[in-house]
Amino acid sequence: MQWDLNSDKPVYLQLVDQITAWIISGYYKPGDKLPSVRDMAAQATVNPNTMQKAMAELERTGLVITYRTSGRIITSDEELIRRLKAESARNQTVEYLEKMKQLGYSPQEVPGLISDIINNDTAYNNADGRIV
Amino acid sequence: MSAILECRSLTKKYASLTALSDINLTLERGRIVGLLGPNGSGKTTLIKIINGLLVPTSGTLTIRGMNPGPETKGIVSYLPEKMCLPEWMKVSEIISLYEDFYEDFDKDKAYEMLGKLQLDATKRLKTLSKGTKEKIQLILVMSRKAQLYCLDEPIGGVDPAARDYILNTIITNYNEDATVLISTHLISDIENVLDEVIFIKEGSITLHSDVDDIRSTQGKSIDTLFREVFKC
Amino acid sequence: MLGKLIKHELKATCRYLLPLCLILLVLSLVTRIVVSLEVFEGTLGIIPNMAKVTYIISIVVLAVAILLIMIFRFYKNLLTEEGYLMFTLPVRSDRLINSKLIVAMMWTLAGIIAVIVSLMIAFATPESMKEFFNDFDSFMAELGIIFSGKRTLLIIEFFINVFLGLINNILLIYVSIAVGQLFTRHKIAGSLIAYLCINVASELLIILIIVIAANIMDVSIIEVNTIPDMLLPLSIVITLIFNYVFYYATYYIFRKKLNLD
Repeated sequence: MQWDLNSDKPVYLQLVDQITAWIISGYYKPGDKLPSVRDMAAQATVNPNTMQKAMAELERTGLVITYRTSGRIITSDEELIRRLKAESARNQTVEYLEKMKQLGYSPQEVPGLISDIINNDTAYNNADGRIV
Repeated sequence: MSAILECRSLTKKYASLTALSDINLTLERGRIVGLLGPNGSGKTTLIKIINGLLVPTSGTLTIRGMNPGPETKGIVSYLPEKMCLPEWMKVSEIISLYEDFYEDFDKDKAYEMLGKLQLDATKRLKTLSKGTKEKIQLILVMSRKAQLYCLDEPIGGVDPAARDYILNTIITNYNEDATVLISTHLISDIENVLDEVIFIKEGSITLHSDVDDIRSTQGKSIDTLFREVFKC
Repeated sequence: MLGKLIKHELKATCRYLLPLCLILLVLSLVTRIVVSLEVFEGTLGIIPNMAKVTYIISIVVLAVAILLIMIFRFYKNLLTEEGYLMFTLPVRSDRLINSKLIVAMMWTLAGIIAVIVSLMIAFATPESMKEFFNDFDSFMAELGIIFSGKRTLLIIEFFINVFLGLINNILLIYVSIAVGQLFTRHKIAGSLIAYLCINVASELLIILIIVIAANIMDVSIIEVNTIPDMLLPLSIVITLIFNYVFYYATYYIFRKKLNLD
């Protein structure tokens, strides 16, 4: 998986966001063991201290748990993950609504836009009507 | 004390110019520090003084409290900007040389890193490409368990893949008790790796700060800040 | 550490010098064989002569090679890019000078021995050796007469002088190169000029000192016994002093005035 880091926000926060996104999306499953801080830092091409800071933050939020003998494990608390997923989806939706507003679409017009694409665009629609 | 490097009123003058002017600097252990500045700003001069290749005009520079000399050379690992390994030597011979002279050199680690590059250790350096030789020099430097690593322009003039390899090597091989000082003018490529940055301009330090502090208080990347500070 | 530097230095130099020594010995053998065959009549008689000439040339080549490599090694290994490696090794810079000096002396002596051995291979026969030793014995006898009682002293002083003189030649080259690198540009020209100046100056100084010393001691330079009594000892002392001066000048430049590109 590719790390996508921009240059404005503190790096460790971006790492936290990225790893959280991977946990939510299921790329990192509950109970998965994370690579060592050093290896993850090397993969992301960041300072190991920075990755350490990100890990500390993830531990604080409960997404990652450190076991003394086994290392860092993704939480098995599926409820927490679901909650974060919902929160992330909510934030992205709000962001999207704001962008649409800037384009000139009121929030009420937006559902119509969305169902239009879902129903007619084959990227989101199979012949038998299943959502892809 | 945890400071690995300390400069007090360090000055280096030549007949026609002042390369370093009244530098005051302290570097702590376990940090990856960027020494950033345009060409001719004094970066290489400072690094040469750290490594005992130049003598200050006035002021002091100490590494763990010692003046640059054979003892400090034993704990400082230096990657010069230029290719400095004798061309006639085989890779295995230069590794032997490092093993002979540096107590902190880890031969197995060096061979392991060479193995990943799929390099034949019986080859003579003059038969290898410039990029490969630079990687070998980096491997030798990073295979030492030094207390201070001085890397002078490690990623200048290399292709992106090589650059990733170099940064990867630096990150995976540095140890928490050591400090890495990277001197470069290519900032955007390495700023994610840095803990601290030092801006040096015309022989003086204009900024020395944590990277995260800059990003959170100024809301911009180091690269952007650098361009502002060093605008022509 | 010094041992390791010497080892490294030998490795770097023997790639060139060992083959040359071997070629020398092989050529001496070839000369020996070709000359002793005595089958080359008439125009073919040119072949043994060519063999001899080639062999003699190879002696000269070896001597020149030892000198050039001495110079080249010092300059390239310490004052070009390789200097970044050498001067950041955890050794004091005088050890760098010492290792090169010692190895240069080793090759000089090895070269002398190689030439002597090759000469014997090429030309020695029981008769010529007997003749050589006879000549040598009468030479030693004559020395004994001229320098009554001081022959041994003379010989010892002579060899010490030659030894110190060889070191002096090497150190003169080293200090010239070191002085040359003080110039930011035209370093090689600077070295050559330094070499000439220091050489001429030191020679003049030696002559001056000897003349003054002779005058002070009220001794005639022409008298034969002044050689072991005064000239040679004085020469030894002067050479020693110059050796120290050249050495410490080089060391000082390396410690305080080093400026690699």
